[in-house]
Amino acid sequence: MLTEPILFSRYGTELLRDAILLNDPAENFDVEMSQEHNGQTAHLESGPAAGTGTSQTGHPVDRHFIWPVFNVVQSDFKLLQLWQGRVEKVGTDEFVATLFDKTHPLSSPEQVSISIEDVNLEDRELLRPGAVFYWSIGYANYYKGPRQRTSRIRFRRLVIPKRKMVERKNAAKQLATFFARH
Amino acid sequence: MKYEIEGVSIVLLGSFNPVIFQPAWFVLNKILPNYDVLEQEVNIVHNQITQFRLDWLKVDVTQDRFFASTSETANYTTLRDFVVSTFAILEHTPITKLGVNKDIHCRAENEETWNKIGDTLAPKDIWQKTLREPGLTSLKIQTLRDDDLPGRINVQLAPSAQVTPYGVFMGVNHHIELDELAKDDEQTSEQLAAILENNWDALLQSADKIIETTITKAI
Repeated sequence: MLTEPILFSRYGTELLRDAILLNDPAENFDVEMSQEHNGQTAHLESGPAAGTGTSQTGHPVDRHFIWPVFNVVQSDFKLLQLWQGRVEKVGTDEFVATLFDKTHPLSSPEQVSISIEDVNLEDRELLRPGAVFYWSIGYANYYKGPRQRTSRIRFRRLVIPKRKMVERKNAAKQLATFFARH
Repeated sequence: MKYEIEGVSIVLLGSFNPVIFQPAWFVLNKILPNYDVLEQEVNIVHNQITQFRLDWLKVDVTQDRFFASTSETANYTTLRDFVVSTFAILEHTPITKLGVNKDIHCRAENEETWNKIGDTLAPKDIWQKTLREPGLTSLKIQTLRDDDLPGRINVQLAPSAQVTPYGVFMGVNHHIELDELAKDDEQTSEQLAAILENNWDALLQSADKIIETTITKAI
């Protein structure tokens, strides 16, 4: 029986057969680990790892264990369904879009009409044919307060690097010139 | 096993000017809409460090590290767009490494299953010869990549402090050596955009597969 829940496992009988490079990490990956071991008396702040991974650095609570701290912002939105949409046509009150089911990727794309009222005022400037948006349905305030079923539409905001934009414009100009000649 | 908490983060190593990365700058450059920053929690904006948190996003930048994360499954792709857009504007930022990370916390059915995970992944028979009641507190595994990207995959497993009792934390780090990919006439930010746009789904699916297989086989 475990008297200290912080110990993950105590008794092992099986041999580990599939480990690869166990405890042989490269430079940055292990800095955090050494911080943890050296942190037995010091209180480490939850912070980023030295490498490109996330960290579970935290404060020590007993002789050799560091409580892990989740380093990712916690959400109160529990996703039920997610679609990625592409705007096909924009009308006065509605727009037509093709939806791709991201929750069940094998489903066929569907064409739907969505009320423009469902789009945040600030996102409406992005509403044009070809625009990409994400439509999610889920429970808000899942961990606190009453549960609410909500639907969110969020338009993609993607900045294209200047050089790529110039390349695309040049390619478009070349095509236009080509078609003008033929 | 169902995840009780999950999140995705993007980490960049390079040379950054932390004071740039504040919510107003992202709105000004149309990377984030105004409605995202209405409820912002700015911890610090300084020459050496910037930390802020929005409803769905956490950003933490120092002079050599950029970190952005979300735990909203619906916004995983938005997180990618956020990073790509940021460095499309800051296109001359020298970036050397990229990390795409998936972290999860799940709960074992009972104490026995919880212990079995640790015992299977880190057997205690050798440790018990010299140690009294050895327990697993953190396990890190590194492996080669199975795609064409230069770098490695780092996997970490530990008891979870967020999910108790019997919680398990597992994190997968897709570490990519961005500087090895950049051609002479190309900014690393272009490589970053290309990798994130072309490999995003595959990187997350790979992380999910590693996590699911490891935990399922260890139970």
